Amino acid sequence: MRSLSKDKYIIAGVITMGVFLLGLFLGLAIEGKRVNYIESVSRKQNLDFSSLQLQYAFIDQLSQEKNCLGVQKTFEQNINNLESTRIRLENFDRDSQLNKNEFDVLKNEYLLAQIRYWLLAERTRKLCDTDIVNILYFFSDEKECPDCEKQAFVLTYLKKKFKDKLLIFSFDSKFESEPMIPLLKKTYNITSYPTIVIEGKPKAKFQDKDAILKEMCGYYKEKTEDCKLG
Amino acid sequence: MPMSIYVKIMLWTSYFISLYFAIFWFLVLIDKETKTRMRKLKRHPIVSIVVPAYNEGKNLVATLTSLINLKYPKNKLEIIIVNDGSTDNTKNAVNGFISKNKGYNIKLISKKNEGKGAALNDGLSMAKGEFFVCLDADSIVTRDALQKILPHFTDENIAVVLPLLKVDKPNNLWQKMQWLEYIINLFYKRLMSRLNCVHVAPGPFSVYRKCILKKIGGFDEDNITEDLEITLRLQSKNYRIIQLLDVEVFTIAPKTFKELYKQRNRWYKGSIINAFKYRYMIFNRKYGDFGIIQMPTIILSGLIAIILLSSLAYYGLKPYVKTIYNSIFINFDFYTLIRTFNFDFNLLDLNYTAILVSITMLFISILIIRKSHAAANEKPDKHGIFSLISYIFFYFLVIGFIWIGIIFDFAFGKKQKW
Repeated sequence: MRSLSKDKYIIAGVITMGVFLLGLFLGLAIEGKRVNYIESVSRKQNLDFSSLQLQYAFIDQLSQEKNCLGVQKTFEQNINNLESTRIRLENFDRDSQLNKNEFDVLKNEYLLAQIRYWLLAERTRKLCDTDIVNILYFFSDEKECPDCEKQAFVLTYLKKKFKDKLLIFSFDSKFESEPMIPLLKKTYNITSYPTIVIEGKPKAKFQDKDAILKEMCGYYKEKTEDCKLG
Repeated sequence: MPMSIYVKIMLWTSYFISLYFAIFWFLVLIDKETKTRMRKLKRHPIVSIVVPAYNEGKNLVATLTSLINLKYPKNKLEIIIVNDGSTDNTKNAVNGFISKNKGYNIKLISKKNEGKGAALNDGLSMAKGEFFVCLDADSIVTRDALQKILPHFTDENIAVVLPLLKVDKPNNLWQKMQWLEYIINLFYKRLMSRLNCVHVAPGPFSVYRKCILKKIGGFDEDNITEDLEITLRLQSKNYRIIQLLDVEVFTIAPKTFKELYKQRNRWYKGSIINAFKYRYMIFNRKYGDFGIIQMPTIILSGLIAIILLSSLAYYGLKPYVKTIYNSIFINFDFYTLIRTFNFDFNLLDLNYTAILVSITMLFISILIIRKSHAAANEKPDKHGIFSLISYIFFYFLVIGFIWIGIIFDFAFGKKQKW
């Protein structure tokens, strides 16, 4: 009978399991930290929003000169923060194993924040006489919307090109538990993905850079170099 | 269920199995070895050394010279060169060598080309020695090889004793990486040897007890890796195979990727085919550790290499491929993307599981490299730090690539030429 290193098989199994459990716990601990991090950032961002609202209200009601420039800068900064946190949140959620519910709640919060900023942008358009185009972007998951990734890529590119002159608000259409989503979808008659809404005008199916440029540049009072096609 | 779930399960299973094997062999490593007291060679049995040669006219003289320089009584040494239908000057080179070294027992058999297995069997049927040694015509032995190897045949059950194989004078990066690989693999084989789990007795200077070799019927003549087949057969009959690290044999390694691919394609394909042939040993307790851990390893190592490499390629390259594809839709205006790139980094963004796995793997690799080189009396950076780094970060990709080629060959039924 040949020898069999029974105890080594068992010890190796135990250690391997140990390492994997350690990895699992580490993963969970990181996940918890991620939830906490997003929560605290989100609290700060809510505060920022309230402050911004007050600033606009002040300009509107009390300020003699309509000094919008500083406030607009803050607005732009806030919205950039919001977007980078939202993308981070999406990544965290994709990697998460156990905290799906917490991440869903956070995603819901970010969805509402986007809508708040969008409405604020619309309201202050007259007040500050801004030259900004708003785009709403409705997306879905990869299975339902294989084109969404490249649409997001093109929109990110345009945002980088136009910076504070273009505001993009993205909405995950899968998030039906938030009543705002069906409401928006109904308002703009959205049935397929990706759909982008440029200044209130919905366009279904993937839109390439030039198609979007052509549409959005019609809304600028001052046409810049960036509006050139090609 | 989405496809990605299966991919993930496969990936994590591969991680788990790899880690399990690594830890198992680590336990073998730290376990104290029962030292068998080495006796000096008391008698000098006849040893027959068979050198199969197919178009080896260039290398043969150096090989034969190293054989006659062996510290062993002339009259106890029988050298048989089997000219396997060479079309070059092999025959003349051997005859010239024989006439120059009259005092030695050197024979030349010429036959039509039938492959290495048949050549070895022809040598075996002629061999008069108690021990049978095969030596590839591109390898060189150190002088004390037999003196050091023969005393290890302490037990009737020991069928083969193997020396440490080193790559001879590595010149370019391919050979230097193989130089490292050989030392590490041989160290691993030494560990296997402790549990009698050696699965291959390679061509360069494997010493067999001849009566056992004859009893089990000699070499398989229709096998692409007859050295692997014979070892599995010996294992299936519960003989012992011992790997040594203190006897050196030098062999010429492939010097281009094409040659390496050809060689490994044959080796790895042979390992799969032969493991399948002896599949009844897989997880069979009757064959001890060899059945439980070594047979599954032979089958799984290629599979795991493929899974890890393809997942690495998939997850590593996918984002770049996508970005490039998506760039079609922005007319490849990378300038805007780069100009406005802002570095937004958060410690929590890191994938700690992947980092943990990578660091553990790197740590284990470095440990193994250090240990194996110490055991082989070499320094890892002997042939430069560049080859060492290339070996750690690049060589596994090459091996994985070769395995993928094998899958294609199997899938499309490509015939294997020896």
